[in-house]
Amino acid sequence: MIARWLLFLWIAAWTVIALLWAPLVPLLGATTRVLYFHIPSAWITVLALAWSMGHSLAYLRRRRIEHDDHAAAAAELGLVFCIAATITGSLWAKAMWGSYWNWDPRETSIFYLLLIYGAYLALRGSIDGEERRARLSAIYSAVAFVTVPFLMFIVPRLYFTLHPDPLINTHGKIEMDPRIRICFYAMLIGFTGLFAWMQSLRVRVTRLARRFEAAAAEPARRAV
Amino acid sequence: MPTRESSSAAVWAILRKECRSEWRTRYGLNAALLFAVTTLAAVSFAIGRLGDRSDVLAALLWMVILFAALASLSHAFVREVEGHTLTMLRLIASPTSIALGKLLFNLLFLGLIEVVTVPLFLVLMAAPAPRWAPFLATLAVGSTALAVTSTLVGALIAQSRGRGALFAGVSFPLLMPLLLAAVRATRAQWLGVSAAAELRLLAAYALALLAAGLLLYDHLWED
Amino acid sequence: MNANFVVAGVALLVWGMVFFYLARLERRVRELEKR
Repeated sequence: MIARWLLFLWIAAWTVIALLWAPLVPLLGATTRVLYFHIPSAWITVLALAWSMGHSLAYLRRRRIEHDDHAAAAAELGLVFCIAATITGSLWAKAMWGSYWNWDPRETSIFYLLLIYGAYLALRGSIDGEERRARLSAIYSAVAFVTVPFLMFIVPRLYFTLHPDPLINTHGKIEMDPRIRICFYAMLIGFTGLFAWMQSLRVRVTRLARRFEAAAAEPARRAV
Repeated sequence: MPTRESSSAAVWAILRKECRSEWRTRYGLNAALLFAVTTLAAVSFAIGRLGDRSDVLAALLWMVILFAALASLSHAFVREVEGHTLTMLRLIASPTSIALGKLLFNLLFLGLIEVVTVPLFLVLMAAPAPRWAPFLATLAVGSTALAVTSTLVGALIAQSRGRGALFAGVSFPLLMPLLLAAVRATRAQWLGVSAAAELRLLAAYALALLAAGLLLYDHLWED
Repeated sequence: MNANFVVAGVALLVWGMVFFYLARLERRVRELEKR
């Protein structure tokens, strides 16, 4: 439990430091603050996806249900962080350029991840039977994994509308001020810790549910 | 274990069986053609002639094709599962052969729909004359990628409780890169610009998904 | 300056709520795991 309290303090402290001590990025003005939450959310989205897909592939090889537990849990969490990233990003875009959505490369990518998460979870929801659900969703995950690099190729060549994405261009600039940089990395670490904790909780809940279901089925089985 | 036909013979046999059963009623084909033409008519009626808008034309063309595919290609496996003929099929052919047979059928099916829809589209929308080589190449490679993806997702969906809407929703993320590339390539040939990069991407995409499918089809039906 | 304090305050509040929710969940899960 100590580690969790430390996580709380870490994120709380760095939130305050980032909001009150770190300077603003001249290009971004007051909206600088968003990057401490928006970019870590997007980072976790990608991390969760990689975690989920990795476990899906592992499930296909080893057929151990623990892998499916992890894949499903990471997908749920990834979706939550993806929605957070999309919304914060959209609000940021509105504040910066006056438009909520432009299909520029970053926006398109995050939307794409949203779709993959949504499709994966919808597929899972429609399949009965633990083994079949695990196997089929793992297959889908594996196929989605193959398509991701292609989007990375296509997206940078997308038709830019009004403005290039500042995250791609000014990322270098943002990283320059060491005060911002340290707060940013600290938040990345904090979010990663948060994800790890939530993932652990989610997987343990799944296991508990399975254990209780099996226990509930015992008397019925014994009676037969 | 009963002897299995050799792979290519099995694939061919399944393809013939699909064609024959489809041709018997032609219900699926008729419905798909009707759907495609209806979509096209609706678009044309709503927007009218778009001779100078190659960007919109390219997008609309692929949307019509996409919708037609989403509406009709999901049934390849559903029929089997509902008719319980899948178990029988699996006795005589490997999962990969079954899938390849279905894939070739879907490809043929989609091709048939496009043969009707694409010329109609060009005429109704008053599209400028395409540069046939890149135009047809984009259609061919794009449709192949579309068929490969739809076959794979169709096989997944057939074992779930979801049907049409789920098929579209689950397919779309996989189809998004393909759609983007195909629209860009189609637009490029109208603009007189080279579509080579997009075509390479489309071909690579189709191949990658085909390869992934071939590796994964064995896992699809294990019960 | 004022706006920053408000934002910091809100952020801390939100994070505090999230944390306590998760901590409660953690305690409950551990308790169930022991059984």
